[in-house]
Amino acid sequence: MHEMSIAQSIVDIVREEMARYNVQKLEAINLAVGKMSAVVPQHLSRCFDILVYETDLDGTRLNIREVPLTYRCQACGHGFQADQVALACPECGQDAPYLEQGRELSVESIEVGQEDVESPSDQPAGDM
Amino acid sequence: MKVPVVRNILESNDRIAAQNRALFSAHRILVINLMSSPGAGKTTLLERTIERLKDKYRIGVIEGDIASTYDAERIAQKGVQAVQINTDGACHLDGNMISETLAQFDLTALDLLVVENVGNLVCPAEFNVGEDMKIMILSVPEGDDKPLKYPLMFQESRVLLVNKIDLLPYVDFNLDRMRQITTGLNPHQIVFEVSCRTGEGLDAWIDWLDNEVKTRRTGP
Repeated sequence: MHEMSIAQSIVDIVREEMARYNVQKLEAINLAVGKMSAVVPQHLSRCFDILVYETDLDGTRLNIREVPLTYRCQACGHGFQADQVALACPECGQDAPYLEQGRELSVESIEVGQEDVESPSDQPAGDM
Repeated sequence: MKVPVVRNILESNDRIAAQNRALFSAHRILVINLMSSPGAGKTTLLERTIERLKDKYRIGVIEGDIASTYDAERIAQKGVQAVQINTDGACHLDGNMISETLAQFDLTALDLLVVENVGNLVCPAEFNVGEDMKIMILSVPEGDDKPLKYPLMFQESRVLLVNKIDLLPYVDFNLDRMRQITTGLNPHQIVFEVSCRTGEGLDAWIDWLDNEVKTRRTGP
């Protein structure tokens, strides 16, 4: 339900990075969204499209990588992925396994045309 | 070509929340972010809490609602300062909304500030406002399966108040089943079983909160 404000935060972050790298045009924005975050990827995409309509970001792809729930048992150390919230370790039955991944809500990277990027003043632009 | 960014999307909210927290901390104010679904009893719990603690502590309330000033008026009738925020459709309060409201309070004259969030079990859990702790209410007519369906809020809340326990004979709510789920999600969560209507269980909650405010006033 709050995808519009999340989309606005993404645009703010991306504009800062574009200014830092002196980039005029983006091809894509890559996000990581954990399954435990209160964000629906389809809604987020729609809100983003509405927000950037007829701006310089219009047409930029929003790639959303959904991060599955990954737990680690605090008793036996067993690591496991789960489709749903896990209340106990499937190996030893211990309560409350620690959620290692699944809360993510981040801009991981932006994609620009090869000719469109300059090195920023404070640090070099690295290839991933 | 890919340019790494790796920035938390909520970083600007977290930054403002941290500024709020520093301000609250400097004034030794205990700040609670009170959350629940609509109708679980947030405002009624606040009324009962204020009645019992207002002679002892200076209390302020920020009321978050999509529309209306009804809740702020209810709280103001209890003789404490209440400021209403209307979110005009937004489903949660964020750090900035709280920050903009603080000018209306004299922070040197507050011991306890309660932020009553918009009724919603989903979004408020993601947005810090600068609180010391999140406290949530689950009312028994909502069902004992809610922790499974809205796990984030149950994981984030230090305290869970199970409200309307006077209705337990009339609804299919199994306290043991709920506790089994909440223990799996958040084993350190403090749980109070209360009825704001009959007053049952409220003494334990008030004693606990009293102690928390006292610790905040006198602690390091």
